[in-house]
Amino acid sequence: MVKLWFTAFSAVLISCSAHNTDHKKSPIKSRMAKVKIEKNGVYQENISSDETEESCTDFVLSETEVATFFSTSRTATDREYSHDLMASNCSASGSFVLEGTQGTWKIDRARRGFLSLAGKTEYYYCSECDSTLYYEPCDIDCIHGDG
Amino acid sequence: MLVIDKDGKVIHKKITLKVFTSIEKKDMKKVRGLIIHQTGGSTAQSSFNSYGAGRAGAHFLIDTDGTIYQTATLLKQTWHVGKLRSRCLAELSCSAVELKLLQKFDPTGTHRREIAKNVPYRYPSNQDSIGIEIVGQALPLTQPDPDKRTYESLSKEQSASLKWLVQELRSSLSVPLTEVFRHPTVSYKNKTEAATASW
Repeated sequence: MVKLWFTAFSAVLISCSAHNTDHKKSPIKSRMAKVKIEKNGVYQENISSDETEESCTDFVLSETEVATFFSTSRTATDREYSHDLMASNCSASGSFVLEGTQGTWKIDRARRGFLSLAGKTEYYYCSECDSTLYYEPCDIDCIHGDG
Repeated sequence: MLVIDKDGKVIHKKITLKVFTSIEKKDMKKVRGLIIHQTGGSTAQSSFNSYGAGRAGAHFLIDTDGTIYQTATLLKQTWHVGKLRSRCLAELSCSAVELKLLQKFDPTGTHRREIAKNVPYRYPSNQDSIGIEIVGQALPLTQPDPDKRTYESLSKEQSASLKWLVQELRSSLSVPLTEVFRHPTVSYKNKTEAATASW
C-alpha cells in the first residue's frame, strides 16, 4: 500500500480545471484539495474478468497520473460507468478534502474513475490519459466498434 | 414459433413494440446467440430515455411487471455486448499458442482475436446476438462505487417473461441453449448482473 500526501496536487487540479469546460458541472473535480493516494495496485473481484491479483500489482498511479486523470477525463453518466464502459478489477483509490469534508476517489485500469463526497458521486472516463498503465483507450463507440 | 415481419418486428400479443431506431446499427445477417442483461435503472423509462439518446441499447426490454418491449428490429445490430472475453479460456479449450498470448491480460488484443473467430469458438457479439435487458438496479445506491453494488433479483413476472422469450427466440431463430449467456460471462461487467436470471 502506498500512502502519499500531496497538497500541491490540488493546485495542479485547480490550474488544469480552470480551462475545463465541465467546470460548472464538476464542482468536486475543480475544487477538491489534499488529494491522497491510499491504495495502489489493488485487485477486487467485482468484475467478470480474467485479470489476476498478480496482474494488478503494477497498476501503481503516481500523483501526477491521478492529477492528469481528473483534469483531462470526460464526465460519464452513472449508466455509462456501471453498465456501458469496460470495467477492470485493478484500481487505485484514495481521499480528498473539499471545504472541510473528506471524500473518496477511485481510478481503474480501464480508465474509469469517480469522485464521491457527501452522498454525491461524479463519474469520469479518460481516453486522453497517456499513461501506459491503463488499458488501451476505448470509449463507448470504440467498445462496440466491431459491430 | 414467433411471427417476425419483414421489418424484423415480432408480432405477438405478449410483446409491445416500442422501437428506438436510434439504437439500431448495422445489418444483422444471422442471430447466433442471446445475451441477458440487467439495465441498472429502476424503471423501463430510464432505459428508454437512454435509448432515445442513441448509442448503446438492446433488442428487448423486460419491465418489472413482466411486460416485454421490443426496442429494436431483429434485422439490425445493437450495441449491447462490448469487448469479448476469451471463450476458450473459460472453456479450457485454448491452443498452446493462444494460452501464451493470454498470459498477459490485454482486453483489446483478446477482443481482436475473439472477433476473428466464429461462434461457437467465441462468444456471440454485437454482430450476431440479440440483447435482452431486464429492468433492475444494482444496490445499494448509497454505495458510490457501482462495481461494489449487487443487482437485485428478478421479479417472478420478469423470470416468467424471460423464460418465455428465450424459448420463443431460440426456437424461432434456431439458437442452441449453449449460446445463451449472461452479460458478465461474455464481457467485463459487474459479476452480479443477471445472476438471478434463468431460462
